Amino acid sequence: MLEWDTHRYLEAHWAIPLYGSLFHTVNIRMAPEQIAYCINHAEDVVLFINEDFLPLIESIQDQLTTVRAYVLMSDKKDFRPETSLPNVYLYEDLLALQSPDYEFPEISENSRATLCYTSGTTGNPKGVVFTHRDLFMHAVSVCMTWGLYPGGMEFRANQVYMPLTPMFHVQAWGVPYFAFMMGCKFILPGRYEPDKILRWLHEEKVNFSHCVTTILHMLVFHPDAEKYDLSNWHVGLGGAKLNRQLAERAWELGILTQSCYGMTETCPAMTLGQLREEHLDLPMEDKISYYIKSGIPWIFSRVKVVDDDFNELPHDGHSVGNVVVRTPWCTHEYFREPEKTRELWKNGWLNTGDVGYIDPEGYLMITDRNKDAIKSGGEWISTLILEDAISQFKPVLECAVIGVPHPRWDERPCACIALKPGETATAEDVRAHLEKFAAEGKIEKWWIPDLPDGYFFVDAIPHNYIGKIEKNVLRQMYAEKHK
Amino acid sequence: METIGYQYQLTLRSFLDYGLIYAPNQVIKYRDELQFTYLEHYERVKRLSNARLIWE
Repeated sequence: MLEWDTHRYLEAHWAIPLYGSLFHTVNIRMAPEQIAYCINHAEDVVLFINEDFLPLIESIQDQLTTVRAYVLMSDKKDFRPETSLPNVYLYEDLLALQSPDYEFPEISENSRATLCYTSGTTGNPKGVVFTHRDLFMHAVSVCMTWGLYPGGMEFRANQVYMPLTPMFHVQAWGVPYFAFMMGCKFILPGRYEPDKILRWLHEEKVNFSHCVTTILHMLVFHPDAEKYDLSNWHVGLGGAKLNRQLAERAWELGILTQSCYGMTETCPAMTLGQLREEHLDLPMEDKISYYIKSGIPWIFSRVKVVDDDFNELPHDGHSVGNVVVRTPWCTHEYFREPEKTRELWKNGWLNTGDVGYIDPEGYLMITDRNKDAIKSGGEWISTLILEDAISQFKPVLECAVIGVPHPRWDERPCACIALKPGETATAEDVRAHLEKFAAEGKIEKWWIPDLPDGYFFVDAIPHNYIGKIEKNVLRQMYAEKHK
Repeated sequence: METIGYQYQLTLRSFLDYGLIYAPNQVIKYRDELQFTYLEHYERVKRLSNARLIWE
């Protein structure tokens, strides 16, 4: 299916896996040739297509080898598209013609339910499969963990729910499944438009969402944000790290945010910035320090940090190693890729490819996502900690730290910085800001990027569809500039 | 080993069923355009499930 977050997507999320088929949620942000690859690799038989993606599918139809029928979907009542596709059905006509009586077959909990492709840094996209049992256990854990204590995320019955991470991406975290189970009111935003989302959040009194950090950023820094009452909104954040600046800005508007760390392969839950009993009476400023951590495991999730020989590292707050995980919902397979599956599950644990440490309180801190880490003079520099420090400098809208080649140290950090509209700041100003952090012991002094090449001012920081910063694009931009 | 009783399968069916028991009249709104109750939504899910016969 290629679709925005609509009622039709929700209908298909039930119907297709429950009649025993595998539901491929196509990642609409991929390039057309990648989409063709995924559809062929998955051997999709029927494609459900929102009219907005019709030109895209028409442009690749000659490459599609397994599709037998196309079902077109639109919000328009009198939708009669002209198309070059063969075997076309219209979604609403199809439903109108069918009987409303249906008995779902008895299927095994180990049946494959969903498939979504994730693009790595190299090679073809990989199809991540989840079974009914995976989705079931994930939903049970997420439901219980978010409901653990009062005053936190508190996702409960009869709340008003709006998804803000797309339904094609890890089934919108599986939240639609259990939001329905708990009798929540759904407000489905379709294609994401910040102006309208803000209005619906206010008018419909939405009090729960999962969201990617870029969308939250767009909403809370929107010029109209303060005109709306967002004060009961609880938001779980994924896609990229929730930084303090964003969490504090959200709280100014009364929005409670919590970092959720995960990846497609983990369905996506692994850990979350969850408070413990002893944190409940802390002032908000201190609670935020916990809310923005990668956090402690969701119920049933087991996470550890290991060295290159797979020895577990101590929870001392500074031993950095590879993050590995076991849960009752992690994917068992990359679709038809046994070699890549074995690599993912090396040593019997799911290898996330991310690096981090666990502190004495048991909270995981991811210091770098896959491939973003910087090694300078043989020592790791955490880009995420540096980014967090730089983003607390007021004129900074957003920043990303990349590693750039250095003749003596192999690599040095470079801060790519986008300033807020109307603000000015120089490399020296940013450096002075960081020196204060170093003096307070929050970052290492040698992590501070060098003048002048360690500071790269850009108009905007590039993001991919799920809100992850595209550091490879920034590295290219940097290379262009210093050619 | 012979199975006695019923081996309850952990499928998405359970989530759908319980929503219909607990809040059949709760609503699903789509933008400013459409609104369905859970029961109406379920009926559309069943119609969509029947549609699979067309291409199978």
